[in-house]
Amino acid sequence: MSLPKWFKDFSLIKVNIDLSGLKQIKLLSDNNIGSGVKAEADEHSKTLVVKVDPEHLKNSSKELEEVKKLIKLAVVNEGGIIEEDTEKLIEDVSTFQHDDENVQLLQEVRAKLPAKDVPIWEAAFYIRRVYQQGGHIEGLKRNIKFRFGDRGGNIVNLCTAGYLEEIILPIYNELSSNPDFTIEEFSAQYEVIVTKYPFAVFVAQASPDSAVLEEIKSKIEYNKAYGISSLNIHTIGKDNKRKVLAILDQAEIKQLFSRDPKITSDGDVLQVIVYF
Amino acid sequence: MMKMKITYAKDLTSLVLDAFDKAVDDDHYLVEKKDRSQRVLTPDGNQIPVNMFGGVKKGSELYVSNDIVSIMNLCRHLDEQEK
Repeated sequence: MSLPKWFKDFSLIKVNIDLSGLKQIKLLSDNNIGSGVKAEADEHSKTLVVKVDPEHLKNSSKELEEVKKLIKLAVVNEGGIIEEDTEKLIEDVSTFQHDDENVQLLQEVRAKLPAKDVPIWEAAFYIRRVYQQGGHIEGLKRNIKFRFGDRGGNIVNLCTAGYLEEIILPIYNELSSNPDFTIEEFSAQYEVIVTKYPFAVFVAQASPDSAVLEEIKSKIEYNKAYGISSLNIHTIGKDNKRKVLAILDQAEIKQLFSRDPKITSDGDVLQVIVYF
Repeated sequence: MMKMKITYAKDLTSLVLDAFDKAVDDDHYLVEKKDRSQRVLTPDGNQIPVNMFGGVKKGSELYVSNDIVSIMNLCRHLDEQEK
């Protein structure tokens, strides 16, 4: 048997098979092991599963201290102990950060957009990729909103809908081609986009119908004032799709349109362009 | 040499915190057990709600929040350490 040297001090964790080249130790909770600690090894995957029963540990200070020692030594000797889902996230993010396409886009964002927003955009690129691969992004979006407020949520929406490449960077490139360009000139437009995104409405599950209706109406008015004649509406999910289509069918809003909206539906994703 | 991967199930969070003498305050943030007024911070200086605690990395005990921006900063930090 070849366990790490630091692991051999543990009297309660016995393994009787060859684990040379041990790759992983998993600490799991199990209240049916009949003791505080029980180890099971998988020789094939070189994984050692250490099951603990937290209730049992409450009455066994020796076992509790041994498990706590294992956790501390894991950090000192092996670089850390990480919650299972977080470990997967770390591995995925690490791979993503080395992706050439992402590296290039991030460099462009660093060079052109406000420094305070760069971490949000980088996270938004990752969230967009998860979304494009069919993964769940609600938890990730909540993270961003928790830390950066509405501005963070807006940037994720803008990124996921492709507006960085379609609108924001082209505006920068256009303005900066002028010899009299100042960054303040771009920043003013950028701020309007990330705080108000006047060219788009993102409809979330929690948005009441009346709020969506008002947002569409006010953005149509705003865009008209700047000579813009279309507005994009985005949503995801069957219920949200029904909600958007029902709102757009109301006479109050239909009367503002110059022609029929262009509706693009792909699975649960809906994009509508309304013209006025 | 590649480090061994050591993971724990989410429902063992309190055991992991206990091993490092950390507790959770009334607002559900990680604090020092011996001084509950002192909140535990990520390397980028953010407080950690217990539901976002993602583990401990080496580096005089580096506390991990599983929010995506912290994870991105952590991965960059680990990359630089390896260089």
